[in-house]
Amino acid sequence: MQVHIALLISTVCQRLGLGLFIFSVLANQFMGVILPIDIIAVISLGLLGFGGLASAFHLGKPTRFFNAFSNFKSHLTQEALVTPFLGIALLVCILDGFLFDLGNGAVMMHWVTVALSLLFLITTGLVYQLSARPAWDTGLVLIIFMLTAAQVGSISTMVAAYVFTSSVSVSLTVVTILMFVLSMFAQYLYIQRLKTLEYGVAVNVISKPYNVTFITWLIFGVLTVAISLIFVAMQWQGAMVLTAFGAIASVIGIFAWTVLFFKTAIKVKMFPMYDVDLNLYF
Amino acid sequence: MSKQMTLLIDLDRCNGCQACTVACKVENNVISGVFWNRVHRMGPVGKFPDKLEMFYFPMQCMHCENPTCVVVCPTKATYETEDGIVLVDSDLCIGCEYCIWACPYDARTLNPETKTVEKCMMCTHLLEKNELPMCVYTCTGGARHCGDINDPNSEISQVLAKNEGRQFKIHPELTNKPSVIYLLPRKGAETLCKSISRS
Repeated sequence: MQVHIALLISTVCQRLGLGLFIFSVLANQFMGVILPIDIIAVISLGLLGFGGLASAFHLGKPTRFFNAFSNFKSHLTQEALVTPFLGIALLVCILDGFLFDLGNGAVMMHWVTVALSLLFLITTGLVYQLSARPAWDTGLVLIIFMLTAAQVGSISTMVAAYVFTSSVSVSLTVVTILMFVLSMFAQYLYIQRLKTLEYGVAVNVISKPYNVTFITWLIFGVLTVAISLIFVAMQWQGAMVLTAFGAIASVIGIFAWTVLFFKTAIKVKMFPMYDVDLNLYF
Repeated sequence: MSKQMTLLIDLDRCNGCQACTVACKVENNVISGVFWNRVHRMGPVGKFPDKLEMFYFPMQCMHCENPTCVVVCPTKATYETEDGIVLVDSDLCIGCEYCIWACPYDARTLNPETKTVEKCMMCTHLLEKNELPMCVYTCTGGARHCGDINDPNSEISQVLAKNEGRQFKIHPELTNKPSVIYLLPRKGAETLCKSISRS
């Protein structure tokens, strides 16, 4: 099992793009912000497409991509099946007002796209929830996948609010901080759980080869984002730049976290009752 | 009861000669750097003479009865035959490696040349001719047996019956239900025996 950089890019792009769309719709409906959903949908579709391309290129045989629609029990097939519907829904959100006018139906379309985005994120998260990998054999995998999407989505929605409306509502700031705290808590629980894994594959993230990615996540994903959000909450001058800084740090943090996430699952052991591992001498 | 072709490997008889590793590569044209079957060494651990443990451990696809690789494969390239053998159709495989993640035994490899996933196929082309898989045929220690474990008259069932109490499977607690059966070494694996409550 290898850590594929294309897969990392793909999942980070998907979480950023779809998280941004979901929280933009939520912000428009409930948080007193008016964001141009058509432009947000362009960004989301672009990130989804880029992530999809990266994902396709990690395949050994990308030209056989359409074979992936065969096994409905597989979460990869489920993800592949949701993708075109989600792409079309985002495209409709983009073209609404240009090629046609959905009128009151636009809001309904936004919610349908949110539902498809959630479905896509759930199927993608479930791909990694595998009993064969002790580190991934937990519901935390899906929860973290969703919460990291919410974290990066909410903070990038704050950036969008600054860009398009020059201000951010208190409720959006509070929700962003809440998503950040919940995401950090879930990631902390995952790290704690790694220490007590059975099967002889317990992981201490402070030791090699995990420490570099763990520290990167800690610096960017935790500290930088936390400091940015604290200053934004205090209505510090230059809040827009700080929020953008926090959003970039959040993306780097999620990238580092995902590398760590993959690394912790690589190890499997046939005889956990022995401290040493199997020797390969040929 | 349906047929379940599988392997039975007596760890007491495995001398780590790697003949099965080489035979598998030659018979199946497995390219350099890829192994469908290989023999590992567990240990040595402990202190000589009383507490020293060491044994050889041949490893290949466990041809699970409830294979996760079949469930996760998005293309249905991985499938289970009526005989209970798990195979990969390389013409369908897209090389997504999802099955590699889903296998708790690290039994699968991505062939760097074909860019598709490969693994032990229990030499089905030989079984069809009523011959033995090449690893079984070549085994110098007579450690390997192959046959239908659900047929009480098969050689594999009889070997198992004679060694009642020594059989174990790797990670039986997982939902995969591995079909490959190992026989515990009589000496040199005391920690393993103790952990699974065998003397």
